[in-house]
Amino acid sequence: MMAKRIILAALLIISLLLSGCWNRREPEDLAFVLGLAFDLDERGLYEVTAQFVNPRFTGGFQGAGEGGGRQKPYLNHSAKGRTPFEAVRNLSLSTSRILDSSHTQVLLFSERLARQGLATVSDFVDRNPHLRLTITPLIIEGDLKQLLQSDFPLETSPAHGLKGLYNLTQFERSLVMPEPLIEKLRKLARPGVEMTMARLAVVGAEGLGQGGQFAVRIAGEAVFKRDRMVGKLNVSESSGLIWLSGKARSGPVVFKTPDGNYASINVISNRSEIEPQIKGGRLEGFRITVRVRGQLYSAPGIDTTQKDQYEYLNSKLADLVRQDIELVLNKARGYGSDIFGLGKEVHCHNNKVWQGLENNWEEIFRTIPVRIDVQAVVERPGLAVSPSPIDD
Amino acid sequence: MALATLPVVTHGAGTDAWASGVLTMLVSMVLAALVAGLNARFPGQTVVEYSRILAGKFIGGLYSLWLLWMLLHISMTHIRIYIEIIVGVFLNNTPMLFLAGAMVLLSIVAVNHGVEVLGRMADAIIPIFLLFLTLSLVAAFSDFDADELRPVLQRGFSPILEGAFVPVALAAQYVSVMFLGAQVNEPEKLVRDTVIAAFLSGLTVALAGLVTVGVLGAAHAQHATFPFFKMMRAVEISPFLERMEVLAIVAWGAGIFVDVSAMLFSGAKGLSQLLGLKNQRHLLPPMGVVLALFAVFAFRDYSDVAGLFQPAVVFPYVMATIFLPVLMLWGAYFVKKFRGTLPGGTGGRNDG
Repeated sequence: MMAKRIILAALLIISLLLSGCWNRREPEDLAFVLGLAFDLDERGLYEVTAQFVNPRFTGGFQGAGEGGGRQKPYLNHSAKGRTPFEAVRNLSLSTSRILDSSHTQVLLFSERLARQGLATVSDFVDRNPHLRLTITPLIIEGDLKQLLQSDFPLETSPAHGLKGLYNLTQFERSLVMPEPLIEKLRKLARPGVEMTMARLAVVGAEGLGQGGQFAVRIAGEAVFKRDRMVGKLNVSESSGLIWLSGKARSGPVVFKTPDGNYASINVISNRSEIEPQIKGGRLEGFRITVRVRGQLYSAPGIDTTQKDQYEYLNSKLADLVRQDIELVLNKARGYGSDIFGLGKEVHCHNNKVWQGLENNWEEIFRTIPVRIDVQAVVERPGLAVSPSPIDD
Repeated sequence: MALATLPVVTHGAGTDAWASGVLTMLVSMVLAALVAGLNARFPGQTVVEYSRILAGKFIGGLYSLWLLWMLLHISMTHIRIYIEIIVGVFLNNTPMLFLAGAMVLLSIVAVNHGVEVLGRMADAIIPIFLLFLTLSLVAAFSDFDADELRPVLQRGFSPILEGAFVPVALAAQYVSVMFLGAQVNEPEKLVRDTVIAAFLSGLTVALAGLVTVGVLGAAHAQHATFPFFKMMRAVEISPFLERMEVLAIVAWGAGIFVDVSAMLFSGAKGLSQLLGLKNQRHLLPPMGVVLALFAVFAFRDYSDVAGLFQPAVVFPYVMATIFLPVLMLWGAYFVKKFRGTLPGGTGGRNDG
């Protein structure tokens, strides 16, 4: 009995001594990366810029208070390498801490890199166990490094700012496809659909005063062919893409009423259905049905107590949505990039037909007839049934 | 078992991984019924004992030895796959031997206390396993896209068969029922319970395949080293609820622990009977050492592990090593029964 107890006690003590493990990473040895940006330099080297939390700032000692003054809550570091991994590891040549990328929020690519192709970076991300597949990928037009130093007054770091900007745009403006990295990778992998990625433009520093402020805004989506960026969608075209994909969550639609005023409708839901028209083993075209529901936000001069006025609003909303869709359809056809996944729908509906088309899909996509059917319903007038009364 | 096999379900079949899962379920149910049915005809005996009755002392002995080797092979492969993910993702520098040793040691401690403890332990762990698994699958549904599962049967049935080869092969671990079956309190329920177990684990494979392909897309499910794990990495329920992969890893680890313990027990039991030892416990430490060493050194690198799981390799292997022998034993049983040379008391009606 005694021997057993001694052994037990010894085991317990040993377990205390053995509490370390091979792969421990103490928090004080880590720097948490918030954003990773990839660029390509003139010589074709990958340049990675990591933005990470400034531990001296968050740690709560002197730097944080008023005395610290110029300390920022984040730090940027850049390094180059022949592969993304080498570039990331070269960051440690100039940092004292292990960069922990498991909390990365945004993944930024410069336009130059995107136009060269993202295959190498996507492979790196795919194999890397630390990076999440839920990260937000963005294309940056303009100076990446400047962007990462710009101020987002509401946020602690540009990385958070960009993430917030992207999220907000999804929910308030419906200008970017609400897709995390995994969905981009899925589109890359899937036949019959091409990837798009939200793009941000760095507008420049003019008139913004000192302190290195740069304005940045969502400029639309970038169009890809395979892993290469081939073109850009402007704001209307991006909206069209979102309408067509049925992914709009909320966003204003503005039009001129007969009496010359502007009216605005907020879209509250959006669905879409793409139907390939296949007859006798031949693809004749597509029918795209887009459903949009909206709520009136302002419509001076329109008597919304009248039923026929709703018909008018509905047709207006449908027209505007159709216009955007036609814009983006023509643009994408020009690029020969099937960003809507029309080919994917053929593949899903009839694999045999798709096998016959797959090799020439780009050409077929440019010319195939597409019928767009928009069903728009303005469902309710808001809190007023008629325009706000003004006495004349 | 189910999660361990998942890496490979999605490999063969792509969009139709779930169908492979269903096929796996059916085939492993048949195997389970065959294995347990044999046991039910010899209540209280392990395969070591009844194979002697059926095939004679020498051939029966060889036969049991063969099954024991299979058990060793299956359990070392299980351990190795789990180690691969731990070392590959979480603990890059930890020696594999340490992980293998820890897992095997834990199993030995459990098995050392006998089959009773083993059963209770499984009872305790399986709810956790199921809970975590269900949570992972439910969590993943938020990112599920049914379009990724279409077109159904795009390349016909052969990829589905191919995808099912490997998990069916891993279902070969039901052989351990031939040893464990001797210990159950109610032998008449053995067949039913084993088939239910096979049904449930097959169902898990099918569901996991479905969800993985729905979240990752067929191409990514096929190219990922650990598709289920990768799928969990891609899941985000809300900005605060992500990193769901922990659920999967815990469930998987618990499952492997039960598997390995069961196989270790079966192995020790079988070997002791074969060697005529009274107590199988003394066999556990050396068997554990062998198991841990094999798990680490039998594979040079990941490509060796993956190589074993090529349908063209593993399917004939398991067919030749498990299905055929079990069928042969059945054959022997029927021959003996027909001739009336079976010892009395057996050969009753099957309750399954």
